Amino acid sequence: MIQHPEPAHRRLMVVDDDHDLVDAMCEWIALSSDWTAIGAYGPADAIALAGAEPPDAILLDMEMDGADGFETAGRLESVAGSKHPALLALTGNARLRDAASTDARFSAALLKPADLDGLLRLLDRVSPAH
Amino acid sequence: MGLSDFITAESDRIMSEFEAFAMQQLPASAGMDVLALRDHARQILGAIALDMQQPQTGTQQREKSMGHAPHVAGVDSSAAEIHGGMRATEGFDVNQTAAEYRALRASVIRLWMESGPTLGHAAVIELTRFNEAMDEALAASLLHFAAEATHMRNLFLGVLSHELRTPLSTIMASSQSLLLGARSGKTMEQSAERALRGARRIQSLLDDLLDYVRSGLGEGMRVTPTLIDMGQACVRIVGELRASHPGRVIDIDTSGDLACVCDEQRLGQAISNLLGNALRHGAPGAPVVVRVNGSEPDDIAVSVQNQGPSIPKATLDSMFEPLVRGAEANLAGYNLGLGLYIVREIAHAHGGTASVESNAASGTVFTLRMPRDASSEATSAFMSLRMN
Repeated sequence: MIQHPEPAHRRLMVVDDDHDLVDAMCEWIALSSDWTAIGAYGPADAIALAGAEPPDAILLDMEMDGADGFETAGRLESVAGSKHPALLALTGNARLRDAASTDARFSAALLKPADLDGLLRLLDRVSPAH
Repeated sequence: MGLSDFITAESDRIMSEFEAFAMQQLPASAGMDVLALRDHARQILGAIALDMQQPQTGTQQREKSMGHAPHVAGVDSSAAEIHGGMRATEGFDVNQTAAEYRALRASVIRLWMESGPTLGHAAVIELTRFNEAMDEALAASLLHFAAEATHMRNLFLGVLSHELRTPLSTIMASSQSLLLGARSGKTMEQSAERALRGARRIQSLLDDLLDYVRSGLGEGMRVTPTLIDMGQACVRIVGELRASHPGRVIDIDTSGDLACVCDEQRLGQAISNLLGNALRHGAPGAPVVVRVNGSEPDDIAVSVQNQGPSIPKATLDSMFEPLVRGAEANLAGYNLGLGLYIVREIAHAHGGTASVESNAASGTVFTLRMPRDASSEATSAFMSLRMN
C-alpha cells in the first residue's frame, strides 16, 4: 500500500516590534494560505524561535527598537543553520527597502503595507511546497 | 583707527555689546548658551576683519556683490556656514538667525562711531567692505540654515511615512481577515479591535501633525479653559496610561490646592505626552512618578520623573523643539518628534512654561507650570482668531 504522507506545512515567521502588526499578519496568513505563521515580537524573540525550530521563510521588519535589520538577518541565518530560510524584508522605510533589495541575503524586499496576495505568491516562489 | 583694526583691537568690547543686544532678540526657549553665542560671533567677526584686510579689485567687489566671491585664503569663512546649520537644528527661525547678524553689525558700527574715527574716503571704503563681508557671512549662514531645515523636513517626512505605514499594514491585514471571517460567519472581535487601534494611532499622528502645522503658521494653539481640579485630571490620565502600559509602575502624588482654570483636554494631552515619553525613555524597571503640587498661590506645578541615564545639556536645550529627536533615537521610535513640542505649545497657550532637568541621581524630570487662571490668555487667543 502506498503511503501518502500529509505534506508538512511550510512555516513562516513574522518578525516586527509592533505586536498588532505581527498578530494581524499571522492571522491573515493562517486564514488565507496553507502556511503556518509564527509571530516574533522583536529580534531577540525571533532569534530564539528560529534557533529552536527554523522556519522556511522569515518576513523581517528592518527597523526594530535598537536593532539593525541587516544585522538581525545575519544572526537569523546563522541560528537557522542548514535550513536556510528565505528572508523577506518588510519595512515602512523606502530607503531601507531599496537597501535590502540589493542585499543578496534577502529574496525580496517589500514596502509596508505589502500587497497581501502578492506576498503569498512571492512566498510560494521563494519557498516552494515540499 | 580704521574699522578692521578697530574690530581686531576691540573684539572683547564688541562681543559684550553684541551679547547684550542679541540676548534681547533671541528666544529664551532656544536655551542658547552665552558661550556658544560668543564663540560663533567671535569667529565670524574675526573672519570678516581678515577679509577686510585682503586687497580687493573692482572685479572682486562686483563678484562679491553678486554672491560669487571665492573663499579668501586663510579666512575661516565656514564659521558662518556652521552657524547657519546649527541654528536650524537648535530650532531658531530664519528671522532669529538673521537677527544675530543685525546685532553684530549694529554693535560694531555703534562702538566704532563712538571711538571717533576719521570719516574720510578710507573710512567709507572700509565701511563698505565691512558691510559686504557681513552680507557674505549672512548669506552663507542662511544658505546653510535653509539646507539644514530642508534636510530635517525630509527626515521628518520619512519618519511620518514610516509611522503611518505600520498601522496601515495592520488595518489592511486585519480587514482582509475580517472579510474572510464574515464570509464564513465567524466573529473576530480581536481583529476588529486591532484595526481600530491602528486607525486611532494614525489619527493621533495626524492630530499631532495638525497641531504642529497650525502653531507653525503663527495661529498658536487654541485652548478652551474651564474650572477643573488639576489633581483629578492627572489621576485620570495616569489611569489611562497604566491601562495601556501593564507591567509598568506609574505613581502619582498630589498636594495643595489644585483648582485651576485650564483646558482639560489639552492638559491631558500634555501629561499624556510627558508620561509616554518617560515610559519610552526611562529605565523599564523603575517607576515613573507624577507630582502635582498646588502649594504656590499663582501656579500649579506638574512634574513627570523617570529614572535612567542623564541627558546631556546640548540635548536638553533642544528637546522642546519640533522635529528634534534624541540623538539615540532610531527611526522606529513611536513618535514624530512632536510630542514635547506640543507639550510646550500647550503650556504657552495657557501662559505657562515647560522645562526639563536631568542628572544621574534623580533621572529626568519634566515640569509644567500652569497659571491658576489661564482664561485671560485664552481670551487673547480667541481675539486673534476673530480678527483673521
